Amino acid sequence: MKEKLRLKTIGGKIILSIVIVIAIGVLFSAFIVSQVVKDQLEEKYEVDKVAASESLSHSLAPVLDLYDYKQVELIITSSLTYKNIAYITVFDKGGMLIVSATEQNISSEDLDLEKYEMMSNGTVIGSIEVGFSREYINEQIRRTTRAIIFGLAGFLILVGLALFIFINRFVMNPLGVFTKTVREMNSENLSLRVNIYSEDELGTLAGNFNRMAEDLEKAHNELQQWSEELEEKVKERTRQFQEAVQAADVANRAKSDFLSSMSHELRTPLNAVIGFSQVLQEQYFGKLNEKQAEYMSDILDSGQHLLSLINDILDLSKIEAGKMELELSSVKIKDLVESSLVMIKEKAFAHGSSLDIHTAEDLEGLEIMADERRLKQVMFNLLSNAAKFTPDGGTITVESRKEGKELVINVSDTGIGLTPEDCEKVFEEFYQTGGVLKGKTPGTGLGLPITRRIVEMHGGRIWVESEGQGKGSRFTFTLPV
Amino acid sequence: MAKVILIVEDDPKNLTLARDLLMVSGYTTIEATDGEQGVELAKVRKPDLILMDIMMPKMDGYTACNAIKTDKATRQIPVVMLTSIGYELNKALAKQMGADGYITKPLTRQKLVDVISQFLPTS
Repeated sequence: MKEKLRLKTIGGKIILSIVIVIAIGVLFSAFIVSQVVKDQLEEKYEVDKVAASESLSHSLAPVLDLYDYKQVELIITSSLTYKNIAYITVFDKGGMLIVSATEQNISSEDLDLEKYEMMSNGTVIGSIEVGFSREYINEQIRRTTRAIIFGLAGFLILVGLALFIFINRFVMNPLGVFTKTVREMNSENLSLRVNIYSEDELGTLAGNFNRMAEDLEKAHNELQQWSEELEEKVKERTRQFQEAVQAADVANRAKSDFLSSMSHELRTPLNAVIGFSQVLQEQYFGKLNEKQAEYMSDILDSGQHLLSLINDILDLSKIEAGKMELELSSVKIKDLVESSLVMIKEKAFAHGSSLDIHTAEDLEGLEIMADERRLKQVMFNLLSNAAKFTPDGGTITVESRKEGKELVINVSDTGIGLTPEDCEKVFEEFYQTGGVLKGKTPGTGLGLPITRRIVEMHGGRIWVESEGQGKGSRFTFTLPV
Repeated sequence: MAKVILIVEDDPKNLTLARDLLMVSGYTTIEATDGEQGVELAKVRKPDLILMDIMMPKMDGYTACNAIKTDKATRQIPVVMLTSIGYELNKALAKQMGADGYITKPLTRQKLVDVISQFLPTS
């Protein structure tokens, strides 16, 4: 695309400023020149005027002396051909008009009058009056000035035209090429070069630009190559990662399948052990002696402990594998607390422990979306722990209230309490506290970890506080309302 | 005449346990050790109630239950599924297959009597 030479372009601006400078110079010199010409012409006019009058009087004097009026008329008529002379009048020595000649083409206004007395042998023989007109000289001045102005204007136009052509050829066209190249160059097309080889600044600029473009192209190509390599690497890594994830998925599924079938394999014989122990304990098929009854009871206890251990491990693995899903339904908090207490009532009663319930009034009718069976599991775990670690005659208290957008439930006891270390570790898997009441079956060490996971899956928190050993403990968990 | 209960259970010891507990409770039992056999026996002997284990070789409990419940000859027989504590009984699937109830193992006489008496009023 060619850059048009307009006022906005560099060429336009250069030409305009040069033309303005030249125009001012031309006007100034035109003024001076025409002034000088005018002065010269006027000076010549004055000189001519005197010379013409003098020469006329000289040439008329001898003729007039002879009274040859015919000759006088001839002379003055021929003198009228002087362009400046409007009329000539000749008087005799008495001042009487002898002859007069007038040039019709010259207006008779504003004439310079010149009077000469003609002498012959020292006596006045007459006089001559010549009317000079400035009309011709003025006309000449006008013509000369016009010629100067036209000449200079023509020169100005020629200079402008030459400048236009030169600037177009040497500045605007290369600039156009430059602009076009730069405009067409982009990230997809960096191979374009500016084809200007002149030895001026534009040529240098084009050369530098081409070098820069070359560097840019090189850098861009390298970058593209790196980017491709990087992309390839990312793809490779992603593929590896996906394979790893797939492998992990397969491993996880295998683990989950294994756990599921193992728990079935473990429970089947255990169900038989527990079932038969119960049959024997119920003595459907004959009486047992004291020792046998005691051992039977031990087998049953151990069997049931083993079964709960298996169930807890399975629960925990399901949670860890992300397999445990909450079955959400609307749960009435008051009913949940009360039905949980029923599960533990008998046990508490047997140990002479008292059960206190404090349910805040605003919980009346409160329902939350939760997995009822799992929440019962939480309550049962906390309450059976409380019962297990509270000596006979102690107190177990369940308090529930609403705090902001959370439901807060405390289960506290007057039991053996926890050390600060216990408080920290009691939610870890297989952690057993130092103090266990005599004659109590140890737990699976998984109840509290499972409890914590269930609470957390519901979006709640759980923690324990204890004043120290022997001063009871207080488990608190929250659930979002 | 004593009510006849069909036990479908692959583990021989648990089968014996169930049989003994039912016997003590005054029921007559017939036994099958896999789903297929259970379905066959239900058709031939027309028991008053069926106790059906879930994980069994050849044909699992859900499939056997479905077979019994879709056969005109046996569909009126109540089917009670036997499952383990902690084993997530697919209650929805059991119901869909036509099961009438379920008992969680380990079996005790009390559990059996409580559930069975819902379907077989003691004479």
